[in-house]
Amino acid sequence: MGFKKIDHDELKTKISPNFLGIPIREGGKLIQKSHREKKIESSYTGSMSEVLILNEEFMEFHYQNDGARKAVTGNGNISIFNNSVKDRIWDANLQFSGSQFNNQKTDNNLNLGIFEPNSNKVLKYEIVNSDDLPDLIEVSENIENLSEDIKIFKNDNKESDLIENETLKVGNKKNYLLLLGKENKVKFSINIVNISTSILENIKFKKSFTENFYDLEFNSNKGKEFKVTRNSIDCSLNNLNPGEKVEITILAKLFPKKKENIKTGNIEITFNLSNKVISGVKINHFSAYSHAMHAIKKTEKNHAPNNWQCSLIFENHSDFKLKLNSVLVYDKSKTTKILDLDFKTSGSAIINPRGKYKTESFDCVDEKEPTFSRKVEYSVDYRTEKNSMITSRFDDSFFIVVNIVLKKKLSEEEIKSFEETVLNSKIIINNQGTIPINGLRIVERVPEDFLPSRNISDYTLSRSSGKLNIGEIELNLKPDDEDPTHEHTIELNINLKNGALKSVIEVDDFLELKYPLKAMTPDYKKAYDFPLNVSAFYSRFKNSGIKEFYMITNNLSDQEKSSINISHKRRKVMVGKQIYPGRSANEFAIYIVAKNGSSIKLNDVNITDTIPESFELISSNIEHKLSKSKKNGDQNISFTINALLPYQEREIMYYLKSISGKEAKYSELESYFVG
Amino acid sequence: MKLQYYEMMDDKSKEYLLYLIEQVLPHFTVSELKKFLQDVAAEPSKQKKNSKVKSNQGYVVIGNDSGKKADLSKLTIKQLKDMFQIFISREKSDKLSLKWRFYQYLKYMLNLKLKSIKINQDSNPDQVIDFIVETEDKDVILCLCYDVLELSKYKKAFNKLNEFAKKENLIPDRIIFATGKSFRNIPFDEPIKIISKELSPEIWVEWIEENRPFNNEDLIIVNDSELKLAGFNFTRTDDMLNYAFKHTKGGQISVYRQIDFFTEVNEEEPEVELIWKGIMLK
Repeated sequence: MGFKKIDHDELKTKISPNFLGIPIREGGKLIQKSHREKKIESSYTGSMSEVLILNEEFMEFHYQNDGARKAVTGNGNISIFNNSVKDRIWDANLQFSGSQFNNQKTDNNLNLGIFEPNSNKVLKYEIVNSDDLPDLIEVSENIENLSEDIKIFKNDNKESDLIENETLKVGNKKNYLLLLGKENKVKFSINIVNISTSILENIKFKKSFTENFYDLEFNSNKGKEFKVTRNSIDCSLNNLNPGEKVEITILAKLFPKKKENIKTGNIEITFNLSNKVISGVKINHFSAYSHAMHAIKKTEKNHAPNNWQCSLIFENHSDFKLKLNSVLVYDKSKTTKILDLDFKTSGSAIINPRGKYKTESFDCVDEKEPTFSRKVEYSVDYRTEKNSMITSRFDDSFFIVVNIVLKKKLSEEEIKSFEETVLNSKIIINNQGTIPINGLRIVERVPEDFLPSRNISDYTLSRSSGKLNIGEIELNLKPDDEDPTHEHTIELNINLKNGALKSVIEVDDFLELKYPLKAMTPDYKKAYDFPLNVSAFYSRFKNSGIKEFYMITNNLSDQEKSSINISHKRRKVMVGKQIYPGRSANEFAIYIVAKNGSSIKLNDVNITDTIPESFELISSNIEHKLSKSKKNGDQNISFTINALLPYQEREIMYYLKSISGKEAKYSELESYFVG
Repeated sequence: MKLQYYEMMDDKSKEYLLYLIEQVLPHFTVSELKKFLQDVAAEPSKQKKNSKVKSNQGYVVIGNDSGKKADLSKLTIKQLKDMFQIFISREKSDKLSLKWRFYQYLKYMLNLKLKSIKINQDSNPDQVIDFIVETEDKDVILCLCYDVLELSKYKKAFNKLNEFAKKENLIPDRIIFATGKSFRNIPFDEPIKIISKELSPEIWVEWIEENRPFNNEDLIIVNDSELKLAGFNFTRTDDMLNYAFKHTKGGQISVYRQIDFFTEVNEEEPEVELIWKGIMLK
């Protein structure tokens, strides 16, 4: 019980008892799609037509960004046009050959049959073995970021500005940098060289740009007008002779806001090669018949009965030029060759439309009208044209975006004046770019009254994967001394000794640097600044072997600057004295207490007490010094407490005994007390 | 072509008709025959066209009793005649006949991994969906059968399909219009929207191959009698080969026809002719 799924075309056009209504056929269905229309420019004036054989090839070359070829694809057409409005051609044969066919030794001989007036047939072929085809153009593109913040650093420790129009060695792939959050101006220098042996015509240049680019400027030594569209710059270029070069410069601006790579934009160049196909296809021969007539004119000679004067006449009844290739006339029995004309070797006789060709006369004797066997070979003349349309596509690269975030913190926000304090400084460097940072240079200016450490082991660097090897850190102090009366500069180079081949900070990673700073009795009346800048080094080339780097320096922002306050702390001390009776009636114990009521350490606290004349010292619990005042002859005992720590109490006791025979004045025990 | 019209048959006896009907493939199951006979005997619906009927009530599963072959011996002459005119001579081309012929084709020839088929048992002409097919891949196919597909019916079907989809909360994966004939102005190359889904409807037309290498009356023999099929079951060579593919082990296959097997009595050695030879890869 068969059912069949039908498509729309079948329903509309097929004749079948299942389909009701008049079949509908829409005209104008394309037989072939081609990239462009071909208008035949022939010399047809109404009296002459032509057969044109047009061989067109469409090739696409695809290159990587560094110019290395990725792929070549292509196809071709051989189109045969009969542009006569009235004449048909038949028994058309085409012979063509090419290096791209599998069987390279034999020609391809195709019988194309009949061509109605004003018709054409197309043979399509794929171009295989395209690897053998040579490149026709060489394109190089150099991209530079013109920002002044980007410097070049080479392993000889010399910095320099970016070199303009630097020629890249083949195989060296460059990293192209953009600064995140800043306006970047980039310059594209593109050279196109015709390395073929043909003239390149109708050259169209197109460079694509993403929406990130703005303020585009174009300049060329061979360019005509250019057009900037939303996504590209398009330009027509003058023809290029073999060896000739065109230079194109494009300036553009970008303001990267996001941490993501931006494409540099691919390049597409199309051009034509007139009268040439590069695949090696050749149209060797074409033949076809059209309207012609050949006849043998026989005239019996006057005054010589049975003697005939004959000649072969060939008439071109078509609008085409016909090539007469050969004429062969035999007698009726085909035993005697009467006429043998081979025009192929001597040069074909071309018979114009409605033209005639008559051979030289030949005689024969025959009682009756002579008959002959003849064979005439002729063919429609034809014209060939060739054309190649080549598209060369060059892949783009991408800009990497670089940015670091600096943070700095001191362990103390406030320290005491006139005291030595050790501060711990911490710097955090965050890599917010899209490529790793290969090397770092951290430079900090340490003001006077502060001293950095001269011992490299005091500087610890760590990142998410752990601590850095000391061998990768180089410390330079200028001047290299421990004099706090002048400022110092700390310069830390990380991973710059070996040419920064490894990375210091990976993408989204951070580096933490900790080191001590000594505050040597800073003055509370001064303001102290610690300016910091960090230079990040990025590989200039994607090949890790080349030791050249981009150097971008970042200063610590004002918001991130840490300040330190020097505070003047008030000292507070109490010295008290108490008198106790001693172990016997003439003995007294003097108890002195010194108390530091502040948070500051007090040094060299001196206490002096007066011993009356009638008393003598027995002992004291700490070292003392006895002296006599020159002024009034009082006997003094002095004590020195070297250091009183914050909130510390120290006790001093000493014993006095009245001297026998002398009158003891007890009130003198409460004599002058200095402390 | 003696099986072309019922009236032109020499032998209209019950035995002969039964013999022929028993060759109809695929064989009917009990449920299928019952439903078929109900359909053929059904009176026109007395319901008004605009009456609301729950579409759910109209569909029942059919053919799920594949092990139970129907007993045709109790069919009446009238029923046998109807079956002859629908499945053998195919002289009946009304919607009902088309529907049942499509059902036969649907179940065995479309190469679907069928899970179930539901048939519409509501004779209300507003119920345009005749079959709801579910496949093992969980696809849902809605089949609408027509004797002649006109543009107005085609457009009406859209609205009904949308109503059905909304009511049943079911968006189909395919829509098949099965028809005997179609007008050429059916714009089925334009996709239709069923609720939120765009679908390209399919039109399946009952097709008779012009230069079929066998006739209705022939017996088709596959290999060495591995399979014997009546020619009237297939209107296209492809359908016959598909059936042979499904019901043989595959491999090297030779298909013969015994000419006029079902209409001529031949006492001599039967004339057998090779009509196809090839390999069926399974």
